[in-house]
Amino acid sequence: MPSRKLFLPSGLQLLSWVGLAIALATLAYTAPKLIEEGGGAGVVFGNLAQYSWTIALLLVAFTWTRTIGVRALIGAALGGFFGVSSLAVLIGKPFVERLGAQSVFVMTVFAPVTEELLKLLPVALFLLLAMRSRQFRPSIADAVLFGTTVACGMSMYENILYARGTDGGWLANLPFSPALPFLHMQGSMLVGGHVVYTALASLGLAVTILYGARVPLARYAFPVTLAVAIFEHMTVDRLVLIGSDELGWFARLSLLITLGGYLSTLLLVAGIAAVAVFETRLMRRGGAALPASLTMRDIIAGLRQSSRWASALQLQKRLRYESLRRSSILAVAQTAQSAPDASAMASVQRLYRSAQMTSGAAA
Amino acid sequence: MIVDYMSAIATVFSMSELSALARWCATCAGSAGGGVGPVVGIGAGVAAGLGAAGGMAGAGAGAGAGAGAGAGAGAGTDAASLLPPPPPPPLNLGGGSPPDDGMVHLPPPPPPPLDLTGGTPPSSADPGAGNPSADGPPPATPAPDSPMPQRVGDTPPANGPQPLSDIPPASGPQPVYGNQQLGMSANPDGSITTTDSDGPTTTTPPTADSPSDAAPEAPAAGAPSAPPSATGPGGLTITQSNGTTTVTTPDGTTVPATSTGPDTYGAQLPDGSFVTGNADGTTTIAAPDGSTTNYNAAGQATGSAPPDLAAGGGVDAPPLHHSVTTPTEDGGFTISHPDGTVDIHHPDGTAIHVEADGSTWHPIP
Repeated sequence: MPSRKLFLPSGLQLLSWVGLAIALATLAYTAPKLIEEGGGAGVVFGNLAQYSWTIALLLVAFTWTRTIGVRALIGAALGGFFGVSSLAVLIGKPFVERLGAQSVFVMTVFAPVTEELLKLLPVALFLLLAMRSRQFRPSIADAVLFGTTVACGMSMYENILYARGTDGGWLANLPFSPALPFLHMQGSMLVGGHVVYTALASLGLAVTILYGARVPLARYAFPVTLAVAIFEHMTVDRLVLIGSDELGWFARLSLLITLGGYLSTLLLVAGIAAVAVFETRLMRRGGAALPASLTMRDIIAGLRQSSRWASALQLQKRLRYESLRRSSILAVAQTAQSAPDASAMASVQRLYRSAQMTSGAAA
Repeated sequence: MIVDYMSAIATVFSMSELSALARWCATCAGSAGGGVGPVVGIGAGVAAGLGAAGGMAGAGAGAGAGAGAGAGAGAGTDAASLLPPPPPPPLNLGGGSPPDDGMVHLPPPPPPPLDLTGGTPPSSADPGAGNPSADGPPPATPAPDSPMPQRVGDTPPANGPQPLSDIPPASGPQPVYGNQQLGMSANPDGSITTTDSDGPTTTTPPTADSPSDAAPEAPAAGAPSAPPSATGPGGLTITQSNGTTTVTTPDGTTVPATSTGPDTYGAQLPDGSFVTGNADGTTTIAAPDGSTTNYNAAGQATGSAPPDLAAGGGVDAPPLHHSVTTPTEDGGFTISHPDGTVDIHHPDGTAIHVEADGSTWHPIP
């Protein structure tokens, strides 16, 4: 039933747009009260600016390798803001009510573990769904970007609940704070916070899921990064719990292992650089069998349509083409194929023609 | 009491208060200590997740979970059957990164073998060669058992039967047609050995003008109109250097050839002729008037065809004012346009359009 198959993606797209609209409507309705609870517009939008800045930098770093677009990121941010936060509250509520909010178990074990796992849940779903296909695959950069955005959403919500800012600043913790302005110090420990921890664990999860079948060493990426993220989260919560008193052996050992909290940030920055280089090289080398990649010239040319609507449509088609082209290249690398299979190439070719690309051709 | 109740109902149904009511429900229902209620939050989060799934391009397409690429990608399998054949296989035989300027500048493949010694032509280039590692670029051309369509699927290997209609294999038995000069071959020392059915085999000493790597033209039977060939087909010298194929005309003009597929190339010569190198090592030269001459892998003329008048070709019509169609050795044909561009149609139905600059091309849908 070809007609049914062709209809199916359109139906899912419609459902997706409806879902996004519901989430945005919920945000619009709750925003006034949340801003009021969160310490006022200055605090809330200050947080928003810092998190958005990091996401913007990641978008630049992964310019040549990402396949997900703005819509996915908006959905991820809202999912983290509403869904993950609410799920964490719902799951933790019985323990908090039974053991108390200052319980050592709740603060240093339960909350770090559940929060880190819940933040990874959307990333894991995204990757596992994507793994069903051998024709189109996401990049590690996509997972990092997606996970970072989910964590930004959750962190925003958490800061609203506590009516606080990030306690960071663009120049507060050099050299990393210009890129990660939400970094702050808890005593003698650098706190990466939800964003750094989830970004790192997402990176590890993506490496393991996408390349674990091909590279045995990649299977260790997720356990290692998740352990680092949870351990640092536990250490931060422990420091918050004991305040400025004597640290104790556990806190001192934790600070030693985590390099004073710098371990996760160092691993994340190094990992992002490595992923950007690795996947950019994949893109440059792996597109030989496919039509030419999208260039700035194509984007500018696509904007010279008769109307703004036509220009926007053309731009959207070209970006969609480029995303699919990249996904097919990534699938080749992740599944050890020699080249994109015929149906993947046909799909890319079809979008190439649909986007009315003018430059290059099969290379 | 009743008045208050009615007033509350009126307030609820007031449009200005509806949003406040919804906001109250969202932030207070089940909420402990602020924020939104867990149920509302999870619902909104799930909805947002649906929105995110729709924005995932390739991965979503492959998983069928709200493809960002829409039907085009989500229905890739079905779409494939409705589409023309995929583009020609990759041509990046050099293995390097393609330039990122949006245009495709193709490093030409190695030229077809020009075995002028009369021996067995070498086999085609190994399509799998040059693929350095699994993590590196995909092979430049599909492996023989690759599911990818083979663009020149009907081209026999160079070591196999040669699709030459009227001459025997260069190294095979030579038929006797009477008093005809049947073959000449260049020896390693520069001398030339001539085989004649009516006379003994003779060997001509090397001269200053006969380098050891070039053999004089040996017109084959059935190719009376073939142009003289001093060093290669039609007097042309075809060389390969650093993966680049160049064609040198008898007057010394050098023209870079354009790769048109695995082991194939094309070159537009200054006199209007177009040289097509085929994967089996044969060469076709299309004259400006539309006539064609075919050469085997040894550079020997094997046949010619007059201009196709029906297609616009004609004698004494060097400057093209309209397109000219000429058949090629491998069963395809080329169309030379007046603007200097050339369309190359392969036997398998695929076709490419080569720009006049000779270095840019794109597939013809």
